[in-house]
Amino acid sequence: LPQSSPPPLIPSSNFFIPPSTPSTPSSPLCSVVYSNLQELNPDVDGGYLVPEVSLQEFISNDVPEASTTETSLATYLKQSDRVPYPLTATPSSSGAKGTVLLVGSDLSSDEALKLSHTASRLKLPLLLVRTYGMIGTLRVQSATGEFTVVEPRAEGVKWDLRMRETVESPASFSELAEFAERMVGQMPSMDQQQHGHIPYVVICMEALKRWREGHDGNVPTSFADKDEFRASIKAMSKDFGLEMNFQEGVREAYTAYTKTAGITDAVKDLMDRTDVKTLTKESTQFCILLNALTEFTSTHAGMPPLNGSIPDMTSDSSNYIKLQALYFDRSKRELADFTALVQARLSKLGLPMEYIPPPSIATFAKNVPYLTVVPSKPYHEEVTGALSEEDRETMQGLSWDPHEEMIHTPMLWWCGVKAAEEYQRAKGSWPAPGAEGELAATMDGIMKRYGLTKQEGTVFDAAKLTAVAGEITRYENAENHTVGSVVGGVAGQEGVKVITGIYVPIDNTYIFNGIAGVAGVVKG
Amino acid sequence: KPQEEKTQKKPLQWYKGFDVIISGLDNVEARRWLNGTVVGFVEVDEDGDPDPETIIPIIDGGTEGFRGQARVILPRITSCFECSLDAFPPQRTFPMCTIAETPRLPEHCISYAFMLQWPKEFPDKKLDKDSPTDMQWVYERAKERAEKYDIKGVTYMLTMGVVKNIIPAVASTNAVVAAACVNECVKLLSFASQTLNTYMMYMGAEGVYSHTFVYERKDDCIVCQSKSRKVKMERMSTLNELIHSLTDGDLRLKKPSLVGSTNTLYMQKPPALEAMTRPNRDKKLSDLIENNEEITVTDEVLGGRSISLNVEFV
Repeated sequence: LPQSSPPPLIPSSNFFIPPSTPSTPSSPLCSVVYSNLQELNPDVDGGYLVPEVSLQEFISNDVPEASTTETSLATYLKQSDRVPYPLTATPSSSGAKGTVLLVGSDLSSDEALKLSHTASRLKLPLLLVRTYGMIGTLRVQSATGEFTVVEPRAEGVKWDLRMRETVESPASFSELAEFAERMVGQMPSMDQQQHGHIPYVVICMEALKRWREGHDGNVPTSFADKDEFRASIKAMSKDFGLEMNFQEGVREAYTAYTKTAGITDAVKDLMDRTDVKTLTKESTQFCILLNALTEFTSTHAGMPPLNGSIPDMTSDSSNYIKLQALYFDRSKRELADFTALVQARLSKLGLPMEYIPPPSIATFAKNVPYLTVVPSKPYHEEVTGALSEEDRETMQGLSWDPHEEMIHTPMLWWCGVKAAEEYQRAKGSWPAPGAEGELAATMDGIMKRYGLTKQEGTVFDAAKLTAVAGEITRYENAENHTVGSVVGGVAGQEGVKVITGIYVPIDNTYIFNGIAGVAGVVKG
Repeated sequence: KPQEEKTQKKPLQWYKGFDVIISGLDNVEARRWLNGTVVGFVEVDEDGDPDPETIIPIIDGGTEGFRGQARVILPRITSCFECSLDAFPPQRTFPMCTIAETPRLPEHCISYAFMLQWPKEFPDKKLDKDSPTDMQWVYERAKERAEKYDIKGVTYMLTMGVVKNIIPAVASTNAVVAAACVNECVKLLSFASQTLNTYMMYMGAEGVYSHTFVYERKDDCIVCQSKSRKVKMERMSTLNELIHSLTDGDLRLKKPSLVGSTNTLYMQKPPALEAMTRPNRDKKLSDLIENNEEITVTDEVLGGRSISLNVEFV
């Protein structure tokens, strides 16, 4: 690391406030921050509170009856008219009210720990953001020990076309079967234009039907089968080079003989969870929806509600619209059936219908193949609890994939900041120049807990620990505005994911190394 | 003092006055122009070493939805923007026959309105994508077509998206990339720490994925490598064909002007000079230049930088 003059760091203070701003009882510094923040986005309403007790007491003081809003976070949340109570921690992508997100920024070690405990107890999601010199960290903690993501919006669409299912059992989707049969019946009398605009779904289904007739009702299985199947589609065309629809048919042939994604193994595992099989008044939306899904699949040949969307494909407009409509109409009917199952459960449990509003049910139904659960161990468990074998393996695996310039590997700097936090907790002050040796030893201790030992030439060796410890002691918890903005941007992003249940949050700590512009995620 | 005009309209000299340039531009052309101009400022001695006094770092940031990148360009030292031109994917287009004859999606209807109907209705007027009146016209025509085919989903917002090729902006991504750029700027100006070497990628949709790596210089980059670029042309080919190879080939120039070692071949402007040199386009190259003659090419996407072509007749 460069041994040049120390960076011109801004002293530890909120960079939103000009250094000369005075703080008075009637106009505390947080009111300045509040009004500056309001300027950024006039659509957001806000406020501030100066607790009567220390921040630590305020966070951990959880006796609502005995407390006032100024002495207890739990009381403040309960009594504030901005925050609906009882608090529900499960996100709703329809934006329904009832989500609280706790964000702790640059707290002392003990404050961060206490807040983590409180968040677990109150079942609220928590973001812990820290700007430490050139290093930024963001720890994400879910309300319930995991993030249930209904809308991961991952790349790669799994189209729900039900081609094989319909060919094997036309009654399961009679509208589609009839549409295909009708078009196939017209094929012999079609002109070149019409023939070249038959949607590939019809072509593939017909090809599969013919294949089964010649193969004892089986679908193509071996490589040879699949080649032959594709060739059979090509043979159905009149002028393959010009007929884009038949080319699409060949390209998408595998979607005809493969079962529709439907209920994947991952989703099956979710349906088998004890908290899904047995519902109570305290059950999360996610569990209730999965329970309803289990019943739905049992009466729908193991399939989830039809998604209803279809990809664009070469076709004349009129037939495409008809095809699109029959998928859409069926999906609407199946959604109605699924909704009834969900609402029956809410009724039986004595929960209000608004607990899982119809738009949330619809979103869930459309995203069944994509449902994702991300574990999210609470921060306090990481600090004071025991580490699982899985956690250790994950950390070790990370150490085998360092950055090109090893010294800049994010996990090293995560460890450095963590060691600073441990130091601060023990001594009451952040490590300053002179404490490098002790800090390096603390870092060593942390990595040992994860099953990593120092080894020359790896990301984790004596020289690197010393270098990182040396750099960290120079920072003394300074709040660099640029680094704060980076990690704040990521925090904003993760916060929105947590609140909406859309896109996948991290598990569980983001580190930004502002020295080299290298970032990564560590599972602490 | 904030300036409000097109990047390319400012005189080149104006950019020389800065110590560092951060660019958060919304299109590739403007980035290429800026890159070409600033790389062009660098003076290189006989040994090929750049004079540090003439180097102005460019910190370039860009975002698209949940993806973004921040990179540091030290002209003539690290890779420049042009070195990474191949990394930009082609814009999404629809087949013309679908647009004209068998629309199925709202996007097809919108493409029809702005690609076919507008030029027919206003043959002399270029569609102004920033004009609400023009865009409203496109939206209404698209809606009519959609109604005719019973296609749902044409909205004003989708119209804007298709015509301007917009991907919705996500505020947090912009914050992260902008902050990363400023971080680099502060370090460069204060010599406080290392500089990003050279490219940081950010993907925030699935967890958060970050990748920082050295974007290598392209050996034959037309902007940041001094080498003359060899082009093989048939003796009988015309100047016009050479020009097309520059615009349609991998150099992706827009409106190149060419000057030979002893004469002007073709200038895009001013209009009088363009008219004068236009007949040259149909002439055979061998009538205009010698074999292996060095030709200087300038283009709006190169900014102030010119490139050297060496044309070999085959």
